[in-house]
Amino acid sequence: MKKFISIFTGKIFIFLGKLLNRGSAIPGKAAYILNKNILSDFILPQKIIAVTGSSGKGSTSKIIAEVYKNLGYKVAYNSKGSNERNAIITTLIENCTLKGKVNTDICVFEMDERYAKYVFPYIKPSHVIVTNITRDQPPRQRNCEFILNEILKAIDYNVHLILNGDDPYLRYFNLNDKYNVSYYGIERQQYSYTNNLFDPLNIYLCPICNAKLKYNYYHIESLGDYYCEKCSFKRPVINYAVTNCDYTSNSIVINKLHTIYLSNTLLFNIYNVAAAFAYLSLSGLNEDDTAKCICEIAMDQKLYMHFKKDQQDIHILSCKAENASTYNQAILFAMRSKKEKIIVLGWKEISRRYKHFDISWLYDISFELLKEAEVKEIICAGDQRYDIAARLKYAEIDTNKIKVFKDLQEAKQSILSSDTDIYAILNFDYVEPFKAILGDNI
Amino acid sequence: MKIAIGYLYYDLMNLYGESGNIKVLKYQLERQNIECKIYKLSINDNIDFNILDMIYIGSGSEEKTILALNHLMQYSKQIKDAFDSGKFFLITGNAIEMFGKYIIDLSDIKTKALGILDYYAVHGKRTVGDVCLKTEFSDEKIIGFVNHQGALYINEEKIDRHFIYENNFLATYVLGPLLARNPHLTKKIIKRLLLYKDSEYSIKPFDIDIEEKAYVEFINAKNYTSNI
Repeated sequence: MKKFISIFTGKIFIFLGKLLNRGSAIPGKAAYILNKNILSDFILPQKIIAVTGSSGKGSTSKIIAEVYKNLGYKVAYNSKGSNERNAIITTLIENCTLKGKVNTDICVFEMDERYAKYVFPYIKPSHVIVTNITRDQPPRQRNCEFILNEILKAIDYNVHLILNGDDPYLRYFNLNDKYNVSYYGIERQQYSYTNNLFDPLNIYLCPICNAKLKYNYYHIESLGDYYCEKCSFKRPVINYAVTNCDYTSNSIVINKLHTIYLSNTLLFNIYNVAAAFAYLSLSGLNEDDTAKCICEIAMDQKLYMHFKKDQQDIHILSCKAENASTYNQAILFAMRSKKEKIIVLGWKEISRRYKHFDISWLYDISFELLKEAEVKEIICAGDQRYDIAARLKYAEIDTNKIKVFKDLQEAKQSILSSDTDIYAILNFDYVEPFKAILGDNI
Repeated sequence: MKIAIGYLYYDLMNLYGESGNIKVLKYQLERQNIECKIYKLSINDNIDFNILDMIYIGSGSEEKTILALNHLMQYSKQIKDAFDSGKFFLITGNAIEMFGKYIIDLSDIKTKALGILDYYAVHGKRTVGDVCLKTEFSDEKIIGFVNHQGALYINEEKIDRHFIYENNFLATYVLGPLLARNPHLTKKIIKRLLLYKDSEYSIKPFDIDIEEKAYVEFINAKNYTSNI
């Protein structure tokens, strides 16, 4: 009875939410208040994939859900951005009968890394992708080890893990070799490097013997082909390898067989597609169909936009404040171009969740690399513009090139008068204001 | 003049942009025409405290801090001698706990620490937030961010918000790029370091305009009062 009432109430809230265009977690919350065991009460399909990690979980889960939908399957997916327990409950209520039977072929969940332990033990996903564990929102997430332990609390040995094999930090999940794990990764490519351009940030040492990890090549930070000289620890065999990246045609090849065209070749986007492909293949889909289908789905435009104005290329890279890795990826991307460019940096708020002013993460971003990237000017905008400028100064960037503005509106003239390429490396809350400034010019 | 800085446990105690402090020291010392050498040292290295003019350690996760501390313990006598002789230490974030008598973690496990100062650390409810600390070390308040599991005590008196300085040992729970955010503190430390090495040294003006503006913006935004 409790089960029926909670699901029924949830469905009413979903109906009201649609009328009022309100958030996706409230129906789940209402149902959970009425029935704390609701997650155990659903009758679920066999295929349940959950994607968690510091970044990339939204994009990866979206690809998986879209491919299944496009191939004609019924999919339950928390597509509205909420990824905590109540959002998962809402998604299940949306797709179930009043008896709790979920009428889909598959469930695809984007899962907040800290809430996984409140969800996974009940819904028992068959596969879990951990995209990465990076420095992210330290006031909330503390540090990588804390997040690793939070995810470990959520999974049992029946889960088939899908991990980025280029990331030595993720190997902590299976040091005891008890999980069934499949790895995806990227082979050496045009922009791989050997001289440690970016600090590894979250792992320098072998997780087994604490010797310093060595690399045959890096992709970024600690990602690459690693090995330990003191023990047998090394990058695992990659089951789903991106064997070629073509940055001209924006395409990648997986396992030398499957070509996939992408909306952008940002490094983390390539990893997200490889992660999604790995699951889609493991879940039994035909790999040729999967590759074709990924090409056809509308790729996420949230994280990267490109506009052309006469000879000028304008790139908008949406990053997450308090997550240095997303900025490092943007810098790596900007460095690919040998053309003269201006860089725009800034944010409205460091966080929407809290009012802290922590800017320490700026010092984990390798701004030093911009010295060698044909940068004509760097515009720093927003309340912490002087903190950004100070960081750039300590990256030994010529201070004459650093311009500070109270906000993007004040920087408008400098941005619009630029005739060089523009790389707007912005927190996501500055993306729309930046587009507004460009206005009819794009 | 040459200055040698030991960036200890750069690979373990580097959670929150701690390398920023090394960048600031190097930048500002070089603008004083000082040759600045950074020694990045960790658990696989031998540490020779005699060749270092300054030792820096930043924040680490609870597990990594204990790993680094276990390595550092073999040098406790050298560290005590260095402390007594006035060698410079700059310690930020939870690395401050390594220099007390012991650390009690959330599981009540007690780990012996270096015992350089009389405080001890007890882990409990996490402390996270912006801070603005008054200290007799400098005329201006120290701003920054804290995010730590432990609390420091001397005789049951909580001293978390103290900026500890004794001889030339400076330590605070404030994490990350402390020196970039507190240009007056940077000036004071560098002056003290240079004059310690050569009492006749003629200090040049500091290039800290941008950081001073950031400092004032923060003080105003948070409605703190400053002495700057």
